[in-house]
Amino acid sequence: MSLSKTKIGRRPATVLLTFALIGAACSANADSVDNAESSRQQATSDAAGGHSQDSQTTEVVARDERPVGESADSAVRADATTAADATTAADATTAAEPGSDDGFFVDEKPVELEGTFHDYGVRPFVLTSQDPFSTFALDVDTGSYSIGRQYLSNGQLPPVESVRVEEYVNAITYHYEAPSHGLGLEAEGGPSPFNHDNVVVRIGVQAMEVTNSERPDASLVFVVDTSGSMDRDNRLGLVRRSLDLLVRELGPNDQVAIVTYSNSATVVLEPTSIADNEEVIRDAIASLRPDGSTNLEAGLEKGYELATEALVSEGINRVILASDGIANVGLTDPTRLSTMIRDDADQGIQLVTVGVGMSDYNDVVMEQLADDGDGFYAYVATDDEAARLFGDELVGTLLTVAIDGKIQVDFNTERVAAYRLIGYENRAVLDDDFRNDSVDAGELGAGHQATAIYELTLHDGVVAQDSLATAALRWEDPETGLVTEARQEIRVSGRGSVG
Amino acid sequence: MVEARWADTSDDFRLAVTVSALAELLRNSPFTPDVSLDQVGAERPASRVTRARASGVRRTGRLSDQAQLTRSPRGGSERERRIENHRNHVVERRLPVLGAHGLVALDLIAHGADGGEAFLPSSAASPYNPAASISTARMPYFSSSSNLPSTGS
Repeated sequence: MSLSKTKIGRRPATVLLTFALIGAACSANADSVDNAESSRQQATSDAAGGHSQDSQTTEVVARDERPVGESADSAVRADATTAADATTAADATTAAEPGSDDGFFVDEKPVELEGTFHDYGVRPFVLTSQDPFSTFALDVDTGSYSIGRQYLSNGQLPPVESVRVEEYVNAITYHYEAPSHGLGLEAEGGPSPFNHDNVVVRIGVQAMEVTNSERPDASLVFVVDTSGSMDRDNRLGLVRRSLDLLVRELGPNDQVAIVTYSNSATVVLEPTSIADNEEVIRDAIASLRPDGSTNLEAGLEKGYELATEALVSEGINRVILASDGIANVGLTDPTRLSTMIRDDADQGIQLVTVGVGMSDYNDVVMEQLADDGDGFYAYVATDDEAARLFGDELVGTLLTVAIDGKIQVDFNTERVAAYRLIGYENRAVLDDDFRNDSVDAGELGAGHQATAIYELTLHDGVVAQDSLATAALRWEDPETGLVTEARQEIRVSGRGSVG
Repeated sequence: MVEARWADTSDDFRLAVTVSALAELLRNSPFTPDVSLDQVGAERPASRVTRARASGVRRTGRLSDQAQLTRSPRGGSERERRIENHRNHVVERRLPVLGAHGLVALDLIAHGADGGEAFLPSSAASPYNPAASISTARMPYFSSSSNLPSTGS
């Protein structure tokens, strides 16, 4: 993998049309698809400059550098439903069609595993002639996967809207090469399981590894939901055991505070150093008891207040929210709750949300808060999963090594006819914002991985060694503020024809 | 590099693509009517297939058990029976297209940390759709415990 410095090409503007492959199955999701796609302003390809790079290049650039002359035409896109192939789509929608009289559909959701999820739709194929750029924020959440696993373990399929493909893919550990600093980028492609005429390309991102002894000191504030809905062993009981495990893994220079919330917020433990106080902290965790309603707003507010007071300069500052996501007192709207914590995130206090429980579980709140809190979202159903999150992967859970990570893939319009990004529906970034470093994107902890998969329809006549695309990865170092951009060219192998 | 054959791709690639296909099916993506994972295993080197056989019987049993859990009728109210019927309907519509590889991937995800390689015998009936028999199926992607699903990353 060669590395060299290079300048980044200009990206003039263009428009977007969706490819006519998306079926009427998406009609039920049309609004969601719009949400994911309509925000995408598009840039036309400067094809000559866009495909002449080395196989991988890395460059450190100043913040907020944007291509000269970049502008965005109005995004124009075909309505996914009007461009639909109804025949293809019909099978996929019938089973979930409210009001159908096929004797199967019921209005009520299953009783025991009911939760709150949001359907972000399915990204359509996009013609490269209309939009050769695909841009999205990185994501290392795995909550959707853990929820799906919980359903399947109970012998049931997860709700369709609970499935975020990228979180399933990112729940698996791959053998990416760890970089010595920042993020590494690699790409690989092969046949498509979706359509024999297509190919799929996998783009992998690997964050640098840091050992527990190498990480900076940490100031952690546990914000624990102790409302009545948490009164189960797989909720508050699991949270108590998880936090106890976490405290055992911390070092003497780390500190912990605990806030609980039900009707209101209560400080159970002021910021307390681990040194000589581990038993005090563990006793405080053991004392947590459920009671009352759920004032998430008050809990977060108090948690961030403590985190600000206990801020460790040049250290790790994290609020760890453990909840079933239910909020029924105070602010309950996830968007407004997210707005509340945004400023704190900008000060370097990041949020990890840990979901527990399933009945009435609110996936939307937990995911959105983590996104806006510059952290990540995990769902924990078992003690083993807690051990992985707070034991094996503790450093990644606590230490962020890259912020505002995003990817932009520049497809070769002469080789690739259309593409679709599989998943990342709620991670869309404007093409023009790829180098706008004020735009919030994805954060990666030490050792974290992110994987994205594209399905491509190639033009006829693609031969060995042809360049199909160039992937660019951009992120900011949270310590130095330096922004780095790495590139990886994606070529056809010499072993045979593709597509 | 973009390879023309599954055999020339890495284990990691096949694993990621398989999981993405499974997730696409689970969310009723309109791009899954023709999804097929059979070729993924068919092109694998024989040595891996041999290793995969070891855990085959156990996994087949698990799939059947899981299918029984999903499909077994429950007692209770009319409303609960209707909900159960709905679940079964969804299962029958969404999973047969997975093929054997997808079903084993489903099993892997459902049982997560067990991981390991898997193999299903030829001509087994799909537990989700008895009318759809499963051809020879191999699941050689999970070649080491280091691919075990992670919770936090």
